Amino acid sequence: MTKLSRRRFLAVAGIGGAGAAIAAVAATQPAPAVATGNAPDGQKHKGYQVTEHIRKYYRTARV
Amino acid sequence: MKTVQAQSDITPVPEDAARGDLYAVLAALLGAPPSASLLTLIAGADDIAARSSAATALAGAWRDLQAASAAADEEAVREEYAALFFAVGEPQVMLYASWYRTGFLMEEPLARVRADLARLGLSRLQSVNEPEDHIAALCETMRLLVYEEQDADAARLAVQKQFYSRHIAPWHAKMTQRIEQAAAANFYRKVAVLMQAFFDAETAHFEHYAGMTQ
Repeated sequence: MTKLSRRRFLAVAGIGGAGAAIAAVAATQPAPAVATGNAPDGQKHKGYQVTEHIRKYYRTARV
Repeated sequence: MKTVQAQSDITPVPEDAARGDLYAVLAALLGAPPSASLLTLIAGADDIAARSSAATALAGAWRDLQAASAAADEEAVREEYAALFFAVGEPQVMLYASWYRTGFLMEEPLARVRADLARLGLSRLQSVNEPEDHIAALCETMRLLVYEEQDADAARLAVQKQFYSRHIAPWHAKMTQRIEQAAAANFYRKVAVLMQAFFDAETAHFEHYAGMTQ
């Protein structure tokens, strides 16, 4: 497997072409109510930025 | 759980970012009814470029969802969401892995999801009431894994594949079929078609590049 061949595979499947269309929607969406994650500081979901914060937290919290 | 040092912040390749964003959109639409602003955003978003015949299913599903979003009324979609997924007793469509795999809620499949989440260092937010085998929670988990596993070498892709093959692949088609056939489904029929097209692409992706073993 090469990263390039996998990227081509995804592009052929249509996912590559989804980038601009979906990102504009996903980036502005609040985190869904059923998102998983360890709330690192007791914050409630307030939107995508909080999700980004949680995502970064995951990187530091893996066993 | 112990804390390890932070990793560098790597920008995912565009195709993986798109995968993560598709999981995010599905999680948003299935976790709660869409707001008017979300419907407007979907309706006004770009088309998905179909560069091959294999890509037309996803592109067509997205185009149909855009058209439905443009025509939809927020309150009507909220009522549809409630009619489909909420009920005293059994709703028209269940969104939980456990129900499709055992016939009951909160059974062994949920325990397996929780065990894998714990192994991955993830858990449900305290503010969330839905169990972790809800499709929106599973999509959200995949989104996190896709963004996390950005280098996508074989070992890291295997983490995504393992979670997908254990917790989504065995039952998602039954759920999308039930949504498509539900009497109350209108807007969510388009969501189901998009979800199925995306999961078909994900299944092929994992089969091709990571295998599909339990």
